[in-house]
Amino acid sequence: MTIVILILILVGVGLYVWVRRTPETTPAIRGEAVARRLGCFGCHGPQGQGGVSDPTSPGGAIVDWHYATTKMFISSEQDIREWILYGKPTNATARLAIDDHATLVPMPAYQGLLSDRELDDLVAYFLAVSGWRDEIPDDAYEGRKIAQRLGCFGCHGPSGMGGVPNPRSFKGHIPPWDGKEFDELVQDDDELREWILEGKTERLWNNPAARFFLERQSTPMPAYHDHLSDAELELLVKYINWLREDRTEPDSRRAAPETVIGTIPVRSR
Amino acid sequence: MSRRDVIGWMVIVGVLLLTAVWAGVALRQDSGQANASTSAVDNRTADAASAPPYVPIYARPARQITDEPIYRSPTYICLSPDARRAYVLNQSADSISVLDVAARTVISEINVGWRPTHAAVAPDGRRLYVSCSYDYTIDVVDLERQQVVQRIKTGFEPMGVALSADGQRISVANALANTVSVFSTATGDPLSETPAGRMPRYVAETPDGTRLVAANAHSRDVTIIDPAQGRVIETRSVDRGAQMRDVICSNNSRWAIMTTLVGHDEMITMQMERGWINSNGLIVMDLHEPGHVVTLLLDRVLTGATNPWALTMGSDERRLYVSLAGIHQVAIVDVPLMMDLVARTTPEQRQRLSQDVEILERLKIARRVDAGGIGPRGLALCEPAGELLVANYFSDSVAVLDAESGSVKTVIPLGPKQPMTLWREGEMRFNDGRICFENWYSCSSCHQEDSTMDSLNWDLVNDGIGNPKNVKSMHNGIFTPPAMWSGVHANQNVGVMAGQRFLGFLPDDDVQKALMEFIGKPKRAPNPYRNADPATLERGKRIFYRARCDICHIPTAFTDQLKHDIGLTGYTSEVDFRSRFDTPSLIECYRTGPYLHDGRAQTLRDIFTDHNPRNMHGLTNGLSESQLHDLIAYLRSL
Repeated sequence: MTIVILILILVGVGLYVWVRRTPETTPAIRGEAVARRLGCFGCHGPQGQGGVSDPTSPGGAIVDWHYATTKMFISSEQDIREWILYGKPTNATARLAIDDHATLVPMPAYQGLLSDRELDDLVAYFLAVSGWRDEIPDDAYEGRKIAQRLGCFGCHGPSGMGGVPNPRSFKGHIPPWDGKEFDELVQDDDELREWILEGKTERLWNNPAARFFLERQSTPMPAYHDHLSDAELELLVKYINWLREDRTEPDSRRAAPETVIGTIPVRSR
Repeated sequence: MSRRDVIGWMVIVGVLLLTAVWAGVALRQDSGQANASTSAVDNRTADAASAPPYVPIYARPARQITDEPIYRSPTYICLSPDARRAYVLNQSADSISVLDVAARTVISEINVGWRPTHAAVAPDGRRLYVSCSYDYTIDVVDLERQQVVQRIKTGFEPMGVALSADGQRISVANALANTVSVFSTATGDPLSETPAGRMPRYVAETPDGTRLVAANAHSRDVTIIDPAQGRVIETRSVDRGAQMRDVICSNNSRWAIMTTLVGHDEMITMQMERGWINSNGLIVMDLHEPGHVVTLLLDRVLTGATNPWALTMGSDERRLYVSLAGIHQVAIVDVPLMMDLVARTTPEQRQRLSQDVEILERLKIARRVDAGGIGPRGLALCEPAGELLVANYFSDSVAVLDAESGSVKTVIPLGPKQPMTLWREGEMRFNDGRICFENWYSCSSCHQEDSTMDSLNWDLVNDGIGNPKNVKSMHNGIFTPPAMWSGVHANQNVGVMAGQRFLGFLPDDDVQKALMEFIGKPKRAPNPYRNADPATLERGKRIFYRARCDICHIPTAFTDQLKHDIGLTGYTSEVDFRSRFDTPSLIECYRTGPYLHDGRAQTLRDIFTDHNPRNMHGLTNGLSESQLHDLIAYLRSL
């Protein structure tokens, strides 16, 4: 009997650990797979980071997903959806800015090729890659630039949205900044600063189970204490906090389509 | 009477009638044109009626403030060779007042082109060459007939003129075109046009005719030109010198002297006392020794010599007179003492000397006397009478000073006394160093007298320390809040209030009202680039939209009044700790260079060729040379 109980407990613990070790998926992580499946990177470059040459496009190349360049084509989240679905924005406000000059490789229309959930994921991924936000405060914006300069997005994913594997770590991937895993690893701003400066926190380092994985993982968090000023650290913390605040209310951004005035019926292509 | 006689009479009467009608039409046209030329200016003399019609090259805008009185705004004086007549350039009345110096009266007033700025009298005293900044001409005035007899077409915005000693050549600094042109006075034909630095304001030719010195107000250097060949001999840096104005050369053709501000934009703008932000003085340079530049300050420890403007020197070279436009004084410099100091100063000591605000008091190289009016600009030394004439811009008068003692003998009004409008008061305050603590500078020391910019990068502390920014023109500020590159002020009113605190710690409401009236209703210069080929402008406009410039530079204000990152800072470089800057309006961008928040693009072209590698500032990569040309032509026309 005790053996059965012991086995059950072991199975329970095993199941619990297995569940806990399943990597978290976020919309942005799923969105990258959608982008890969649809072939977005063929024209917009790997992870949308550099458009391929097109002599007929303004600027000499297909636009990349950089925040400054995407801004010239997108004025609201509604526009992003319309670019994906119809190959061009159809609402009146956005159309004013679009010339109908034909380019060699026009943006394809993906309507019918992806589900609503996939569209949401793709938009989330695009937002993460481009950093496209109108309302980002100054400090958070500068924090983002610092994160770019230090290469944080290389491991934590675009805009810190995760997705990079990390073998032999507890979850097998590098934690994103926007999900629930973050809460387990970072309890407050002080711990966040500790992570950034030292590459580990005292709390987890003193926990034998956590330490086992921290020492064993293939890509440990680097310590940036020699590469950041105090002011830069604060900006980075502000950016990460702003990102998390933003993610807690996904519906606030979803409300944008209703505010667009005067949509034009979609033409079939 | 036979039928033949009747027909004969009818023919004679008919011919007479036709002649009368023709004469009538011709007369009406004449008087109509004469009216057009005088309508802007009141109570002109009878001589004006016989003057040739004033024909503007570019149409003038309607007056922005319709009920504004006509101020004379004397800006420059020159004397006839016998020193009995003085010719005063009335900048805002577009005329020249002819003064009888001995009788202290205005004899007549001659109409000239739009915005006369500087002039020179021919050695025989028969002609006066007047640069008309907004007509892009040198108007040649026949002083006996008292009228303009020739208009020499110059480059854009001619300012200073200089005649060669023999009177054969006239040189002019084209301040907007950034060139110096030389013309033959006999024919008015151009002899050469030489590229200078940014905004050459005044020129002077050495008496031996070998060198022409052009002071480049916005590029901190001086272009020395061979006037016979039109060839640049040397471009000489003036170190911290800025906003240079009048230039004169010594009799032996060796020295050039010019008025200058010393702008310490290499430092944080936190401490104005002892001239740590702006100080004011003279530059003396040895034309025979390349690189030689000595800066001497005319400030006192507790009173700056705000905005030195014009220069004049006696033929014996004992005294040099400097008008201090912002503190309403004239500095009388002891030239032998000054030249002794210049000779004694070793190259290593020059920088210290340029920061020494005590030489005026300690070495007694100069004394400062009251100018007899507000806003002294032009100066003329009447040697036979031992008098100095001072054109006081805001007093609309010429003050006569004793050249020896500097005491004011009398003041000659140039016209009826006009009430001062709020706008005019604003212009006066803007140029007035008295609202500044210890009078080190005025608003115009960094924004010029027309409330634009000085092309320098100043490190104001309102957006942090260590991030200097290029001075912005204030012309578009009123309708494009927020103010400043980082948008630190909600609107221009708040910005000007902060500017008052920056100058004098405590903002004054009345001064604020006047300043806002002046700054908020700028009198813009005519834009010559609007006259470009319409087809070019249309092509440029199409490129403007195709490159998506309009997304942030939204017509018609040409700004979205938001901050954007165009890839100039942050992780790409360590120049600034902010990455986003308020979108500047493009209106008048033809005259507000250098460009971008820290002036890193010297020309509009540089913005697209050198500073937009990733298409973050508009999709301009891959534009051909001709497309770029069209785009820039369009931008300049805004």
